[in-house]
Amino acid sequence: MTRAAETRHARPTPAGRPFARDGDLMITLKGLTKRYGDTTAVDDLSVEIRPGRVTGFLGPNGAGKSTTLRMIVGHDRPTAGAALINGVPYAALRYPLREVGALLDAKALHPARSARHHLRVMARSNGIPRRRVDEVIGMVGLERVAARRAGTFSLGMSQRLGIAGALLGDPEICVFDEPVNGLDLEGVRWVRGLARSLAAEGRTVLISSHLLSEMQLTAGHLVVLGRGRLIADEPIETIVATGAAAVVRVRGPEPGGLTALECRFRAAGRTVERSAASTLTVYGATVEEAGDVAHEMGVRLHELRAVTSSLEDAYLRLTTGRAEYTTALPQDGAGAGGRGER
Amino acid sequence: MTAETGTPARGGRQPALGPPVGGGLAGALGAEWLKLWTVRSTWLCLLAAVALQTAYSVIVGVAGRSQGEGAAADAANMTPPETAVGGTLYMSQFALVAPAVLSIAGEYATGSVGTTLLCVPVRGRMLAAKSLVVSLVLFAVGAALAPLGMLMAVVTMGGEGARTGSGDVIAHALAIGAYLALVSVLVIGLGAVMRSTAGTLTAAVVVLLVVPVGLMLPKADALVGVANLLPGPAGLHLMYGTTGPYGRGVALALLAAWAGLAHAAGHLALRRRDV
Repeated sequence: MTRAAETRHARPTPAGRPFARDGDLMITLKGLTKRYGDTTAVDDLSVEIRPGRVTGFLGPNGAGKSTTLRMIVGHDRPTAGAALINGVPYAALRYPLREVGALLDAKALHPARSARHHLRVMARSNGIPRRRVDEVIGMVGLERVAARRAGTFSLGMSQRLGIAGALLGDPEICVFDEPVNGLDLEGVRWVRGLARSLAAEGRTVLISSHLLSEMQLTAGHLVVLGRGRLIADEPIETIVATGAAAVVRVRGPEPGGLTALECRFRAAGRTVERSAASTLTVYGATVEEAGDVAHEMGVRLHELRAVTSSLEDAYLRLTTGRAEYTTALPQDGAGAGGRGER
Repeated sequence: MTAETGTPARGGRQPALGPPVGGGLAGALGAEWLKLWTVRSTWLCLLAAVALQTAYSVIVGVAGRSQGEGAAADAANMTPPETAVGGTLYMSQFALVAPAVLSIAGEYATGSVGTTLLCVPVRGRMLAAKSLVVSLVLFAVGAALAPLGMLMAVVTMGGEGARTGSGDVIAHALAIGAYLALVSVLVIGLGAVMRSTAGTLTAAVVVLLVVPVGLMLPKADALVGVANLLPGPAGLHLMYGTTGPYGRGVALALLAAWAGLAHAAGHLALRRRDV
């Protein structure tokens, strides 16, 4: 192996830090707290964002997500606790862009500077070669507008430019705040694919978003905040499963038999919905229970399944009463109909 | 302060970039240099400065020529170096300090300060790099504009007016360059404290103009003495060389001290505040 190749493939031990292991490639929040006067924006947040998966950062408005991300990259100073990148604060990184790629505000641009020059400035600051600028411009699809002034960009184009800037240093850790904001469907799918491929390469990916449906398709792990506090830090399947109440759908060809089932469940204190002559929805029962009861009563069934709750249901259940800013307007029912939970 | 980390960690996959180079202060300086020259406003301000400097010299030159026969006329008695100083002081310095103000306050106004601090998170380094690049550029520009102004003065006066030696030309040119450089450091320091363009300009005008003029109005010796210690008058005396109660050396030291103070204030403000 040539010396150059050796340098490329070797894992260098950074001076002054413990030997880099895979476990080091993460963001660590330890007792992170941020107070503005009387308001506590982030309250004693302790969590590890690990590599190899997309971590979704969720929470209602005012939950402290943006404040946390700003503390991770050193824009705001914590009142207490620490936000560490691979064990050190952001400001202690010698080549910050090569370790962390952050997209916090797509509009943090000088409007009179061209997109290419914007990226060149970033690259120059961290010793990143010029060819990399054209590479990332190609990656995000801005080749045709790279020489245009950034002030003429639409929100979607600015987002792409921001992502280009985040990827400039080929960082191990990616932090994106609302990356799909302003993107069309093609752009949304592209970001989804990008996030997942970055995570598949073993990087640490943290995405903050309001779009639950998008988060469900992108994230493998969720960190949920409410009023500055950690509410959940779990794989997405766990959150969806535990957030879901047990709901069973039963369908059969015997209306009489289903009526009998209905009465039986009602008598046991379960809520039952008769959506059609042939369909029952039972709340608070498991598939096993319903199947056994139907068998016992001799009712013929053609369909017996658990109704999976969506992430939206689980999220609402988790964050009920934890929203900082709520409206006084009545909510649409999330599934069970009627007024939503508040 | 924690020691800086060296090379970045690798996840074991094929890296897209070679081993890290640059960065640190060198990277910050390079980035600030690029920032300055990749916005149209810098070029426009330089163009305006050349036009203003030339215009002043031409006006003075023409006035001097027509006054030439009269006694003790202001314009005719102005040497070319003095004309160059006047051109900078009354005209071109405003066009030249503008890029300095924009380099700091403009970043806050556009929000690009966020990106800057992602790239160079050590705030003292960021401010130092910005101040160094802008001040060196303005030194060079100011020192180059001075002989241009003097030449235009000589040409338009057509032989009338006081003579001047080459030593004088160089001394004035360097003094003008130093004035602009130090004023830009001062203004950038103020900008880091005020953060808005209007605030920075107001602070600069108050510090450099309003306070000294106010102190000198009553023509009380004590107040004039105090005023001469302030950066505006010190800069004036630095450029002219003969107008003040002290020589160029002291004037330079005074102006540098004020610039250093403003820079320290900006540094402190940057370090303590959230972005």
